[in-house]
Formats: sequence, structure tokens, C-alpha cells
Amino acid sequence: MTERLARLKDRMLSTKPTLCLERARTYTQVYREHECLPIARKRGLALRKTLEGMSIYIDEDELIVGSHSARTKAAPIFPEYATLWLEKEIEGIDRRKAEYYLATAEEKAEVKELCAYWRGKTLQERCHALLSPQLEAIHASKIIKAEGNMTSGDGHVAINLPRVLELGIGGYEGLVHAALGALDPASFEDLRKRQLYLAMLDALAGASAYIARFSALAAGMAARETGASRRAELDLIAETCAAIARGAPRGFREALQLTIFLQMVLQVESNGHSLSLGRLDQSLGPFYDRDLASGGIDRETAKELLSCAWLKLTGVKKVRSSSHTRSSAGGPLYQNVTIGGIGRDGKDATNALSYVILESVGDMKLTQPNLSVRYHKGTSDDFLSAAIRVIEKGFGMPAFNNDGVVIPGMISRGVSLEDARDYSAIGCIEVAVPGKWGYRTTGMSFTNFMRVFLATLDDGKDPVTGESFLPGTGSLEGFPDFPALMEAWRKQVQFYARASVAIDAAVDSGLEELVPDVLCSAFTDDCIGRGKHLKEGGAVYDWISGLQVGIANLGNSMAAIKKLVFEEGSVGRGELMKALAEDFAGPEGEELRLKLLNRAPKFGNDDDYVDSLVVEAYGCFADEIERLHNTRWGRGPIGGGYYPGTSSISANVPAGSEVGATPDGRKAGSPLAEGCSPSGGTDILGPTAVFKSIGKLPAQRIFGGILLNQKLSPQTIQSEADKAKLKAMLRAFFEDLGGWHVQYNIVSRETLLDAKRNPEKHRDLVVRVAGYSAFFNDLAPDTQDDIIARTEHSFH
Amino acid sequence: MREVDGRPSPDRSKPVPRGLDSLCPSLAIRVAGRDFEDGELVTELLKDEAFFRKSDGGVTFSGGEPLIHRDFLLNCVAALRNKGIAVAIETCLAVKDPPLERLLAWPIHWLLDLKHVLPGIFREKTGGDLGTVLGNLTRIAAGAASVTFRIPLIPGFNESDEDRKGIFDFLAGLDRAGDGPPKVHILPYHDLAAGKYSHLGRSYPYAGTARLDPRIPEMWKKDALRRGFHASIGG
Repeated sequence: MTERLARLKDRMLSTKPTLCLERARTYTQVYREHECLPIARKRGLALRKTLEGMSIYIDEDELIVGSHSARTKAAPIFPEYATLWLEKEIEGIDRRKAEYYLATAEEKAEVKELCAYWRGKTLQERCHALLSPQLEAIHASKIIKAEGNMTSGDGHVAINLPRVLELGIGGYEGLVHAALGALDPASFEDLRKRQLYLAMLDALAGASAYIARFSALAAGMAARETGASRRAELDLIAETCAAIARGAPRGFREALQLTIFLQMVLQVESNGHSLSLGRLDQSLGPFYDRDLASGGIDRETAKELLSCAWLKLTGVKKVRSSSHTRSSAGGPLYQNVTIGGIGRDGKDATNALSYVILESVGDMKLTQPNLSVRYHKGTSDDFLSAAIRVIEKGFGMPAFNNDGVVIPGMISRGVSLEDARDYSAIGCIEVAVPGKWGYRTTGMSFTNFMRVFLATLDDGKDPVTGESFLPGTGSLEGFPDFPALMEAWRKQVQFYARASVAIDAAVDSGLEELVPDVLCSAFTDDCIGRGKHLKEGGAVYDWISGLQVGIANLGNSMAAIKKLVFEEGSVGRGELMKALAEDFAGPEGEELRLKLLNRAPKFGNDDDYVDSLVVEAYGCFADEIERLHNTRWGRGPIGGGYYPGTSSISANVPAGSEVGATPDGRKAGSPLAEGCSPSGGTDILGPTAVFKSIGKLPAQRIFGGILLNQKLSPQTIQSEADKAKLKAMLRAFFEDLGGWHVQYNIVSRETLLDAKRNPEKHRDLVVRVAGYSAFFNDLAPDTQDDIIARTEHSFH
Repeated sequence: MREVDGRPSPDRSKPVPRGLDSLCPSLAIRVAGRDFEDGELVTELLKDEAFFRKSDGGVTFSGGEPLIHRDFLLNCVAALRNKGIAVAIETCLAVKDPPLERLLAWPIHWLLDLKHVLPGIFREKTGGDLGTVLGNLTRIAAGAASVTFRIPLIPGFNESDEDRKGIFDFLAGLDRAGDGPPKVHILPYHDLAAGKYSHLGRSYPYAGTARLDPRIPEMWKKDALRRGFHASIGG
């Protein structure tokens, strides 16, 4: 890392998060003054006015500029989405436990004043107004959660960056003007389209003005700058911004700067997270190659500029409600950058820039961007090695996605071969064709599978609320055999699948009518061609998914009941129900819990008994969700449907806190298994067995993503021979077992300390001792201490 | 409760009656290892087939002592080799009349323990018969193309200069079927077993006393390389 980057990073990390009211002020004013305008035009104008007027800055040392707010790490307020939580939390927002924001008394007062205008007008209130009483009750029960969707924009999308870089903002204005010119004034349909086009022109003009303002600011600062080298940098910033304010970028620096500007502007338009940059090595690679060949740039400069861009991504902050914050611990924004994979021609598309991106992300060790590497058979050993060098740094990146599963899965859904080859990760592990796919390939509502399963055991009655949303499917005492239980589960989970889609429909309808994204639509094909914004069906492809939480717990619970209750008869039905209701109280309860935990097969050990139950039980949900449609069905896009998804971020923790004891031996309130990973500490046969279990899931069906976190102790990948083994394991997982995704968490010292105190929670923990690996629990205390000490050393 | 090494420890020196462990829900009683029929073991091993193939890896039969499971071992090796899975056998060689002729018919990579070349010390420290060990070693070396000699360096047993000279001289004079110089793994003593002892509630006799000077393995490696052997520490 250069000294400049070290200074910038240090300043970033020491900057305290604050609130920025400028956007909220302008949006409120525009809405107030233009109540008569159609919603798209209101929003186009509000975006333009904000971008024309908001405070901008260029900080010391910066080479890439732009921000979504008036200061680094200042979160803008988006009152049109939701204000109820904000009104409640604003007073103590600087003292919140998770994710605080500093705010002055004046700012707090102004937020309250702004909120008063929005009361009764927000997206959240609209969504609730659209829910039937039963759906409202299901949502209130938290079996299905959609708060995040009702209180913010969609996000989970990537614009058509290659085309934007080819045409520039001016080129897009030309496209919109041409579409406007072709409208028939006598057509009602075209009257409606005209509103969208006018809004797009406002939004594009706003983006252009915003960039031009940076040019002027840099030029002014350069004139006052006394240091020659900084003056030259500021001049270059001014020149860069002037060139791309309307024009198409001519080189790498301009292309990257425009990419970052748009990433910021799109996050002024909407507060949806997981706004992703697509295949950045493919979008920027040609610029880099040309500049490198002509001597316009060298590798180190490009790397420093990319690093500056990552700092810009890290400076973005979004303030969310406390309750939503729990589902996304650490305030992540999932601005994904994808590299590697095959190209539209089917050949390996990894290029020189792929490596520079990988290295710069590894050097910076920031939380943004969220870096994904696309794996395919032809991914070189060299590129895999470069990826492993970053994994070693222990911050969870990069994650891997598998071309071998994703591309056929897309083609089977009607995506063209070339587009399928051009997919990127969106947010964390989910995938879409950048610039052609609607919002939320995943990220719709969350369904808590274990709440549904507990209701299945008790004739449909949810033990938390006491309500029976779908009564009469039988209870454990009455099921004659295990298939009867599975059948009851099918009925229950299919009911909740429909309920989740019904809730989504209300949310999507609210988003469409109240908060359409004009600029994001302009940059996504084929919104301009169709004269529709994304929520109206403007995208070429539009498949979505919600998140299902508790996958491994579901299979493990079923396996425990099937084996111990129905086959062995060693656990009584009444005994089990009573123990669950009492959270395994008393010594007998604890004995039963341990039996459920230790004496029945668990997902993640390559055991067909339980793995097949996971597939069958999850399949019940998939069967139903695949029949259902989203609000864009039949309105233009290919798709318009749903698939299952498991990239449930950290929602397994709050979801677990809302579920009582479960038949897999899990105590009430403790976290559910995250994503599709095995339940914590129950995969005791090592990583290959986990890969085998995961490989049995129908990856092309669970197209919202199969999230797998693997733990790796730092010592396991020290030598070249160890790294070769890790590569071979990855290749086998992706090429032979059909894995969707994997990411590696390097085991921390804290985990090891906890494992020493609570060995039963860490039965899966493998560590490298010397030339060999061993289960941590099997080591003598002295050796454990030694490993802990070594782990401390390897990370400082 | 009795204490071992200052920690409370139940008496685990007596064997657990078969099946008792399955009655204990908390896993406090655990039986290490599992009984397998040979076909059953091969099925279990083949679960990792994809990983063996991608890594050019395979299955190593290791200690305890694989050579005492004569037919079981032969059946497993045959089944795996017929599937094209690479097989290695790691053995201490202290086994009377192992089925070497039939094993040597398969392309197996052999990992052969060579702890000492003096029968008296060998008997005193291991209780084994060096004649048997070296007899087996000689036959395998003469009959197998792929052999690695593994020398565990144990303080107070075989780490001296004379020990080294004896072992290396023996290797240099050995009649071997494999091409090229002998391959040697020098394995410095480690105390992974301490964990097993403590799980069994037994005191670990070497605790704290057996520390190998880290320069010794380096010296062994240097000497081995000087003699033209392939040598590495660990393996």
C-alpha cells in the first residue's frame, strides 16, 4: 500500500459516521412544490436538484472523487421510504449499540420536522395499507419479514456499465431524446412513457451537472494549491471530470472515475443496498489495456486508482432501523465487484486488470467492494493462487461463484447463451446479467423455515404468537408415519411461500408507484426502449427470490424425528413436544437435547439420510415458489418468476432469536444455521464432507444462491503444497460436485479462545498443527494454547 | 474423582463395553474408531473420489498397523486400485509374515518406518524385533518402485550422530527396485499424542521432557542431501 493510501485508509477508518440531511431537504422541497407531477418526474427532478445543489468535497490525497453525501461516511436520509422508525430512533441515534450515527441537536430537530411532512406518505405505510389483515398478521408474527424491503429502495442490481462507458452520459441523453421524438402524442401509452423520458433527462442532467461541479471544484482548488505535485493531481481531476461530465471516457482513469460517480449518484437516487458494479475487469479491462500499451498508465498507478475507488465505496453509509441492522451485521453495503470467469465468447475472460483488482482489494482489506471471483474449468492455477493469496489475509474475500452451475441455470430460464456467460455476482452470492436484470435477483422477503416447521408439528399453530395461519395439517402426536409429517410440512411451507409472494407483491407495488428509480432504469436495458422503469417491467430479465432461513436446521430436525421418533421409537412424541415447549428444561430435557443433537445425522457430513431430507424438504418450498410470479410477469421481461435462495446474510441470528427450541437439539433463541452452511459445530467430518453434502442440493434450482462459509485456520494454507490442496479441493467442489459458491473465513484468535472454553460448539474446527491438521478439540490444552498464540502472530 | 497431571479425570483405562457409547447422549463416552467390513470401508472412502482425482491424491492406510489386517487390507487395495485410486501404505514393519507378495503385485506407494538399525536398542525402546522390521523393509525395497523411508527423530532414542550414520549407511547400501536415490522423510518428534493421552485419562510420560533440538533435523537433512538422498523434514 502506498503512503497516500495508508493515509486515506487511516482517515476513513477514524472518520465517525454522521447523518447528511441535504438530500432529504431537497427531496422534501421538490415533492412539496411539485405535487402535481407524475411520480417519475418528481423523482427525476428531485435527483437533479439534489445533485446540482448538494455540498461536494475533494479531500486531501484523493485521486478518485465523488460522494453520495456531503461528507465521507455521512448517511443521507431517504424520508420517502420510511420515517416511522426514524422518528422513533433519531433522538438516540448517536447512542445506538449497533451502527450509531453522530447528529447535532439541530439536525435531530430538522429530521423530525422533515419526517412530519412525510407522515402518511411513505413507502412503508403504503405497503402496510396494501396488506390483507392475514398477511399483516403473518408479517407481524415475523415468520415472514419484509421490513428491509418496505423501508428502503430495491438495490441488488448492476447497470449496463460497459454501454455507459461506451456512450457516456451525453450518449444516454441522445438515446432518451430519440425515444421521446418517436412518441405518438395521441397515444395514452406514450403520454405515460413521455413522463419517464422527461424524468430520465432530468436525472441525466443532474448527474452531468454533479460531475461538472467536481471539475470546477478541482480547478479552483488547483489554482489555490501551493504544492506542485498536488496541484498537478487537482488539474488532472478537473480535466478528468470535465471530460466525462457528458462525454464518454477516453482512458482508464476517466472510465474508473465515471464508474464511481455513477455508483455514488445511484445511491443518492435510492438507498437500496447491494448496488453492484458487475464484471469490472471486463468493463474497465479494455481501457486499461489500451492505456498500458500506449504508456498512458502503468500498473502501479492503476492499482492506486482502484484502491482510491474502493475507499470511495467504503465511504458510503446507509442508515437503517435498529431492527433491520441486526439482519445485516456490520453495516455492509455489498457493492459487488466480479472478476474472472468466461467471456461472451466462451473463452477464459480473466485479464491483466483482473489481477490488479484482486491485488488492490487484498492490499486495502476494506469491507468494500465485496469481491467475487467467477470460477470455471479453465480458470488458471495462477489466478487461483492469486485469489488464495487474498483469502490468506483473512477478511473473507474473494468469494467464488461457479460458472459451471450458473450459466446452464440461466440458459434453462431463457437467458441467451452470451448473456448467461456475462453474468456477475450481485451483492454477495446471488447472480444476474448486469445491466439487463431487474432488482433483487435475491433479497425479497425472509421466510423463517423453523417457525413454519414448529407450526407443522402442532397442527399449524405458531408457538410464538399462538396463531394458526394455516390450521388443520395434523400434529406430531397424530402423524402415522414420517411421510405424513413431510406432507404436512409441504402444505404449511407452500402456504407460507404464497404468503411471502403476496407480501412481496404489496411491497413491489408500493415501490413501483411511490419510488421508481429513474436513473437506474435509464442505465438498465431495455427500460429506454420500452419506456418503462424497472418496476414496470423495463428489464430484459426479471427473476427474483426471497431468502429462506434455517435450511440445515430443517433437515437436521426432520432427520432427528425420523430416526429417533419414527424409526427407533427412542424418543416419545409427547416427550419431544413437551421438551420443545419447555426449551429442554431440567436434566431430562437436557439429556433429550443432547440425544437429538448427537444421536441423529446432521447435514454437512455427506450422510444421505439427512442430506436427502434437506433436498426433499426444501424442494417442497421450491415446488410452490417456482409456480408463482412477481409483479413484472407478462409485462415485458423474460422470467417474471421466482426461485429459492439462501444468501440470508446475518439474518440467521435475529431469525433464531424468534424461534423456540427445535428438534435438532437447538435451544430457543440461539442462531439458526447461516445460509446453506451446516449448523454450527455439527459438521464433524471435515471440509470435503461439507462440500459433498452441499453438492447434493439442486444448485440450478436454488438459483437465489447457495451460501457456504468454510472456516480455514491460517496455518492450513501456509505452504505451497497446502495451497495446491486447497485449489484441488475447490476444483473438485465446482467441477465434480456442482457447488454454487464458497467463501473462506480465516479462523480468528477469538474463535479459538471460545473453542477452548466451549468445545461442544466447535466440534467442526480443524486447525493446522505442524505438518498436519487436526480437530482442535482433540488437542491437548498446551497445544491448543500454542495454536492460539500462533494465530495471534500470523495476523499482526 | 482422581487427578491426572493436575486435572480431574475419570478412569478411562478400562475398555468401554461395546455399545455403551451409543447410550451416552452427551458424547462424554466416545469410542475412537469404527468397525468396518472391507466393502463398507471402500464405499466410505470413495465418497471422496472427486477430491482424490482432482488433487492427484489417494488413500493412505496408516497406523495402528495396516499390515496386520491381511485380507482386509488386500481387499481394500484391490478395490481401490481397480477404481484407479492411488494407494499408499504407511507401516512400522514390525509384523510377522505380512502378505507382501500379493501386495507387491499392486502399484502401491510405501511409507516405511526406519527408526533404528541396532537390534538391542530397538528392542529396549520399542519392544519390537528389528530382524522382522528390516527383513520386511528389504523385501519391499527390492520389490516396490515407489518407497519413502520415514525416520521419526525421537530424543533419547535415535537422534545421535552415530544413529544417523548407522541409518544412512544402511539406506545407502540397500538393494532397491526404485530408480534414483532413496527418498527420506525426517520426522521430528511431536506431541500430538498428548491430547489422546489426556482424553484417555492417562498421564503422558514424555510431557515436557522430550524436546528435540530444532537444529538436529536440519543436520540430518543436510547429511542426507550430502549423501545424494532426496530428503525433506516432515512429509
